[in-house]
Parts: sequence; C-alpha cells; structure tokens
Amino acid sequence: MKTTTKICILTLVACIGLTLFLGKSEAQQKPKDVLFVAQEDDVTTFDPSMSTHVPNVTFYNVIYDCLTIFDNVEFTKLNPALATSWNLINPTTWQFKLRKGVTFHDGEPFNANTVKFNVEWLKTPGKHTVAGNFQTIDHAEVVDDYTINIITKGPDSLLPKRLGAYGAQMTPPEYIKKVGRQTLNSKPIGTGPYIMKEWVKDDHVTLERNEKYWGEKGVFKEVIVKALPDNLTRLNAVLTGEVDLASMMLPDQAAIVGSGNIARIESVLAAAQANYGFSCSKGPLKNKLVRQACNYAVDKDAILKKLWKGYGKVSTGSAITYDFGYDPGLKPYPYDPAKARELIKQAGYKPGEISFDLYANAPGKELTEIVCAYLNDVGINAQPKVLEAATRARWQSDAYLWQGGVLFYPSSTLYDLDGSLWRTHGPKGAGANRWEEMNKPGMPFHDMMEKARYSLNQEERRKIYIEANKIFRDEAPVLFLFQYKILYGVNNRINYRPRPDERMYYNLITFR
Amino acid sequence: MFFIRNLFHAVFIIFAVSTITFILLYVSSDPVVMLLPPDAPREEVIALRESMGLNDPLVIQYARFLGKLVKGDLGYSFFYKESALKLLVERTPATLELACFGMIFALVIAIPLGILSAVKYRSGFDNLSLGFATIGQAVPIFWLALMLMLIFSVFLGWLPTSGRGNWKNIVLPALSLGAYPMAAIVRLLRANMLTVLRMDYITVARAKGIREFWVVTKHALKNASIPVVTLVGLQFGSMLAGTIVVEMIFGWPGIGRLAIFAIYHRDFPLVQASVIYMATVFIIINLIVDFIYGLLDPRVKVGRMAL
Repeated sequence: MKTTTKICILTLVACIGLTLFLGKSEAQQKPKDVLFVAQEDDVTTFDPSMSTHVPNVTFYNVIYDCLTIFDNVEFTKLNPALATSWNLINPTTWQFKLRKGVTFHDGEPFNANTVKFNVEWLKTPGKHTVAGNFQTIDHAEVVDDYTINIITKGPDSLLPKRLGAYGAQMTPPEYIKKVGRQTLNSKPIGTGPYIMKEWVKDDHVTLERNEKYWGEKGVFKEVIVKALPDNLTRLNAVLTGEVDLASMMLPDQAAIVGSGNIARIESVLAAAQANYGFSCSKGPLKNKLVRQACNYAVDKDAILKKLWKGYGKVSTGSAITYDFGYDPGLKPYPYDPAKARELIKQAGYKPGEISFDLYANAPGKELTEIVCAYLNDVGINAQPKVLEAATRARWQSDAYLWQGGVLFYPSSTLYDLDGSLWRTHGPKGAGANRWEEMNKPGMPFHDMMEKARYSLNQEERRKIYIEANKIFRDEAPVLFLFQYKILYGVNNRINYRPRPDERMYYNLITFR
Repeated sequence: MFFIRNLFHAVFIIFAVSTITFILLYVSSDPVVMLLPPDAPREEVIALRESMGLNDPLVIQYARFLGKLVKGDLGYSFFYKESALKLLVERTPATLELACFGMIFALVIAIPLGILSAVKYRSGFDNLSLGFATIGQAVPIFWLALMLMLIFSVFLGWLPTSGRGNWKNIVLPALSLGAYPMAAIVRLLRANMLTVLRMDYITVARAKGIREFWVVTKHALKNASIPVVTLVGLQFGSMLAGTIVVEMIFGWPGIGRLAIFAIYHRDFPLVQASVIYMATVFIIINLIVDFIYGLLDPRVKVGRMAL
C-alpha cells in the first residue's frame, strides 16, 4: 500500500473516530428550557446607575424594574410597571401610585420609601453616570406607603418617560444600606423577572427565573448570556444553533443567517440615527450654504441600499420616526449634485477651495470613504479619517477639539425631540459647541425648544417641534444620513420582537 | 548576583513601562466620556471628572498612582468598580490554561516534526514538514481561528464556537494559538539538529555502536534544544501576555481581552495594571529561561560567573 493511501485511510478512520467520540453537537445538547443569548460584550457593573452601555443595560431591564415601561409592540406607548398610575397634580408635581405586594429578590418590600431613596440618588450629579436624565427633579415626597409625589424644578411633561428610561431602575435601599452600594456592582438585587445566579466574568452570566415576579413570567427557567465580542463568532454561534439570540448582527450577515433553516434575522428601526456632526463655528462649515451643499451632494439612498443592504430609512431631519414631534411630511435632502455645486458657488467658493476632514470610528470607515467620494465629486475636498473610540467620545462633547465632521449615532432616549434634538444640541447638550450660533438664548430655535421643554400642552409642543425640526433641517448643522436598523440573529425555536431602544426583555420571549 | 542584577533591571523596566503608559494614557483621552452616555451634558462630564480626581494636575495624579503602586495597589477599575489587580488575577487561570494548552500542542507537533525533518533531510517528509511550518508561520492567527471555527463548529458541528467550559472549548483556541510557535519551533529545531548531527561527537557516538534512536534523541537533541528553550520561553511569554486575538475570537475570558476592553474604554487603572502585569510576566519568564539555559548548558553559568 502506498504511503498516501495509508494516510488517507488513517485520516478517514480518525475522522469517524472523532465524530463518534465527540458525540452530539453543542446545539443538540442544549437544554430546552434554557435560553442562550450572545451579546457583544460582558457586563461590567450590575448597578443600573453606573452605566448606559447596552451590554450592561440588557441585564438591568430583567433584573430590575422601573416605575414605567415602554410597550413592546407600540414602542412609544408608556405602560405601568412598578407604578400603576401617575398624574400631574400641579405643574411641577407628578403623583405616582405604586404597585402593592412587590418584593425584591431578597424579600425586601418595594414601597414609596424605595422610590424616594432612588430619586434622591439619581438626581445627584457626580456620583454616577445617569444624572443627566434626572436633572429636572427637585425632590420626592412620600405621601403614603404606595403613593409618592415627585416635584420638578419646572414643569416637566416627560417625567413619567424619564422614570422608564436609562438609569431609572429601582434598587433596594435596605440591601444597599446593609452591604454598601459597591456590592450592587456584582451582586444585584432587583424586583425584575430574572435573578442573577452566576457571573463568570468575560464569559457568561446565568439568570434564573423569578418565580415570585409580579408581572409576566418568562417561559425559560434560565437565561445564559454569553459575551462574544467578535462579530463572526456571534454569527457562527447563531448558525450552529448554539445561541438562540445574538445582538449586533451586520447587514452583510443577514443573507447568510437567512439562507439556513436554523435561524433568521429580526430587525427594527433603531431609536437612533447616523449623521456627521459638523463643527459649525469655524472654517468653511460655518457657512450654512456649504453645509446644505454637503447634504445635497450625498446619495443616501444608494449608500443605504448598497452598504446597509436596505436596513434603514433616510433621515428627514433630526427627529426619528418614533419621536413625538416627528413630521412625516418632511422630505429628506434629495441627491442633487448640481444644486450642491450651485450652493458652493453662492457661498463664494471655487471647486476644490473647501477642505475639511470627515472622522469616523473604525466600523464607519467604509461609509466615510464613500461620503467623502460624493463630496469630492462636487468639489469639496473632504478626506476620510478614522478615530479610535475614546477620542471620538471626547470629541463628541467638545467641538473645540476638531474641525470638519464626525460620524455620530445620536439616540432618542425618550421618544421625544427633547430627548434627542434638544438633549444633544441644547446649550447644555454634548453637541452644544458644535452649533453655538443657533442654540443660545434669543435665537428662535433655542427659544422654541426651551418653550416646548417646559410646556404641558402636548399639541403646542408638537407644533413647536415640527417647526424647530424644519429650522434644524434648513440650517443643516449635520450631514443627515439615516435611521439604521438593529439586527438580531434569532433561532427558529423562539419568537423575538426587537425593540428600537435595544432593550431585551427575556421574560417576553416565547417558543415558536 | 546575576539574579539580583536581573531583579533590579526588572523593577526598573516595570517602573519605566508604567510611567510611559501613564503619560500616554492621560494625554490621549478622558475615561469620563466613555463612562457617560454618548450625548451626556457637558456639566455632567465636568462633575464626574471632578469626583474621580481627573481634574487634578498630571503630576499629582502620577504621584497618587506611584504611592498606591509601592503599596501593591494597582488602582480601581472605572468600569468594573473593582480592584484592577483582582480583575487580572481572576482572569489569569483562563489565560494560563490557554497558553499551556497552546504550547503543549505546539511542542507535541513541533518536536517530532523538527527531529524527523532533520533526520530525513531533503526527503519528501522534510519538504512537507517545512511547507507545513512555513504555512503555520505565514497564516494570520485570526484567519486560522475563523477557519477552524468554520470547519469544526459550523460545518462539522464537533466543537463549540466559543466560551470556556469543558475540554471541547479549549481545542480550537489552543490550535489557533499554538500554530505560530509550532511552526517556529519546527524550523529552529530542524536547523539546530542538522548542525548538531554533523558534529564529531555524534560521529563518535555512532562509531561506538549506539543505536541511531538514542544518538538522535539523547545526544543530539539535548544540544540542539538549547536555542529552542529560549524560543519556547519567549513564545510562552507572548502567549501569556498576548492571546488577545484568540481570546476575542473565541470569547475566551482571559487577560488579553480584559486589556483590550480597558484600552478601548480608557479604563486607566486597568490599563496600567494590565501593562505592569504583562511586563512582570515577561520578565519572570525570561528569568526562568535563563535558569533553564544554565541547567542545559553549564558553560552559560560559568560564563556569567566569570563576568
């Protein structure tokens, strides 16, 4: 027998032996009543006031509860959670009636004192990372065990929404007093549908169903959330059926997932959009006509179709489709290179005279190269540059550090223009010094947005927002791109409806 | 004396590495913006920076860092809200396990391959083994890791794609990690064996009638393996400190992944602790290699003492 034949036979025998030895695949060995989830990073802290990173917040939503919760179907609708009802008893006082009979995982009762403790903590800046959401709160007053008044510094029609948004999860005061807030980082106690059972750092977190949960209990006895930072590994874990649900799938991967019979892609328009924030206080971008020219120069539809595989919707302005104040009649900037050239000429520039850099994080590199090519085509000398995450984050809150445009993904935290446009571009917002000329007192845009913030008349607010968004679109302090979709890889054994705010409520996932 | 001198060098290196890292980190960015939501108001950024002591002058922050360092306190992670040293220690077993299995795989394949290639010099086997080694050195780890995952997890369904649990989990990460050192060891061992096998004392051994197997494994291998020990030591150091790619791809909960997270999020104390840890690991491994070198070749020890 020849050596090659021997090697072939040996390899074959080894393969058969290995198959028999290894037995069932990982997916086949999966227990039926355990949900396996893969997300892009591990949790770093279980204290909901200490982080707003999505991989952390995922856990906060199932371990803890807020007073209110955004609906899982009609995303912008606010439902009761730990509060059963709420109403405005005077312009600056919201009264919340609380759910009775709710206990934390360790048996500590939930009542008005719990809410007071949490509100006092959340409104204090410098202690945690979520104070920005609660700056309108002045103090809280306990009326009785299950009634609490929250007094705001001025009228705040959005307070019930704030108490369902990031950082607003109710933590147990007695437990914290006993073991210290520090302990909450690794040993969380909440009132939520799942209890943290085990945390193997950078590997997985095991959650156990809370059998005493006041609301809808999960069908899965356990949820194992794996931290898989690599996109392709998450994709492979979905393809093999090792995980039932994987976050952050890429548009390129959708066809691969959909081609098999193990899993599928579920997507939803995000409560966020991608755009290039301009430094409007210096250089050629100080001129509104140049900014408008940039918006006319880029074919967003083509980019969305080719690069994002159609997973998204071209932005019409600063408001996303879910926002209170979104104007469905407003049209996006059309792709019109001739108009862009004309505007540049009107602004007093010759072709090639305008130069600036467009910056993006590494995943946005390809997009930025394409956008720059479009801008170059109309005579704007834009160069793509890649920024690492920390520098980009620093630039996001300080436009004095850069000139040109930076790719940002501003989100709408409250499904309201106050939580998107005014949160970012208001005088105290992260993007305040990107566009100083319009967001200072006395300017129509500033005064309109401030009026809407403190108005309790919803119809008036809606009208103001529609007008303000038109001004924003016309002034074009950003290069509008699109409201992208969030993609999840979902195993065919489960039903999963993704949410625009990227929250995952494991108790609402069912068998298919 | 030799060890004391090396120890002094080690302390100096750790001090220099930590100082450079400290300066580079503090001038490059601000951890507060990574801790807060992306669009957090500027007032909140300022308030949190103040409470974390990041508004103090760089010299004061550095003095504070050094003061803690001499007490063995490597700081407190901004993101994990835990001791940075504790976080590193927790992940050490995973990295150690991966590096050990990777090295075992490399040695188990590389030693017989290197020896046989030299013994069967210029044969078909030698060419095949050299080609194998060249591919092993040329293929990027990330590509190899993904290909292995695709074949053994997705197509064949034999092994899990990721995670750390039972023995099946370690196979693919160890193969990916061990491929490069395996190739390097094969090439080096083959070259050294070829040199040694032509030496006079080997001819003498053969003339004395010693069986060829013992000539190769006992007489030739011992001398041929001295440079290999250095290589294995350095490669093992790199594996302990630099399993980043493999850990990221296979979701392995080790030190490399933690370091990447820390750098990405500007978790200053954790980056500092990781750098100091990795520098220390490298230095310790180098010291161990020097020690083994002395055991294998007594001339090395004599030479050093004569200095």
